[in-house]
Amino acid sequence: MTTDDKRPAPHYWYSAETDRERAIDVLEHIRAYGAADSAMQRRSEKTMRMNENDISALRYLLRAHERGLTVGPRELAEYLGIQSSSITVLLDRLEKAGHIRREPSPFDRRALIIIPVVPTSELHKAILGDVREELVEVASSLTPEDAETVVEFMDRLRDAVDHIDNPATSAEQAKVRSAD
Amino acid sequence: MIDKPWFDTAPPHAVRVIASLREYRTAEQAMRRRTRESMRMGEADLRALKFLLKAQEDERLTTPVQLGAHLGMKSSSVTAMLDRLTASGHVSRHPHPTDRRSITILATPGADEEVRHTLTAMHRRLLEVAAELGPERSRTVVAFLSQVTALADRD
Repeated sequence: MTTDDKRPAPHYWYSAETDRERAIDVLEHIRAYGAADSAMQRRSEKTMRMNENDISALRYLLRAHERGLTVGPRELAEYLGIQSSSITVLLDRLEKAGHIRREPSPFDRRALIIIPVVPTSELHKAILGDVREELVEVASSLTPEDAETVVEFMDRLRDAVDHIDNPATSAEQAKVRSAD
Repeated sequence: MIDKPWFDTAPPHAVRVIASLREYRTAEQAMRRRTRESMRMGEADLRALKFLLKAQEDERLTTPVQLGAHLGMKSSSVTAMLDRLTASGHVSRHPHPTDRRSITILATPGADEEVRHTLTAMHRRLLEVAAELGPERSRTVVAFLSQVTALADRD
């Protein structure tokens, strides 16, 4: 086995196994993309994107709704990683915009549940928003097969990211496991 | 005549690709806020601890000046951060063995454990997903991401 000394040493929290180098390389590209995208977002303040937090919140609520699960303000705050004081402000804004409705929980009358009333197609449009023509060109230049590869991978990565440090999904997984 | 939104005219596969990128980014940003919350640490704190732990592993001493240079922070901000991380038990300050005017900073075993736990759980999961791609699809994904990154970097 040969080693390439010019390559930076893998950080200690990665396993040093060589068969993982390819996967690390992919994640490194994801990281670079994220950094570039964040920097671009900071530069273009004037773009009329829906607030990232609002998109995350609505996406979470719609996905739970599709699976027949109810979500309360606390769970949503935990998913978003924001304080419970900020979640009230966020929910007020979404309710005013007609994207959600708050109702008493059927299980606990003192608790509230959040019902998404925004159509999925509407959220989809907000997520798509305004993008640069060049990005559409790059995405269009992919073959449909390669596009499928990218979409599948990004969706799987997104699901993995959604489970990291998320008390709600951890509890859900525990329930699934104990039901087995 | 009103311009149609781009997603009504672009090929459907392109729309799906861009939507998946966007959704991933919003999920990632929420995750970053969650992990910061659970560690009660800012991004800079986390980067500082990673730098210290790496230096300790290589048996190098770290001074506040070196830490500030790595993080791109002023010395007053570094001092404030070290005060905070010392109070929370994540780092300790020690006399410098050769330079009496300087000090060295060490991350505590508790900090090591905390960073390791957060990062390994996260990276293990993501590595699994990336490893499932296999060589050919990895190339496709990497080539695409490189193009998109170059695009975001430009303007």
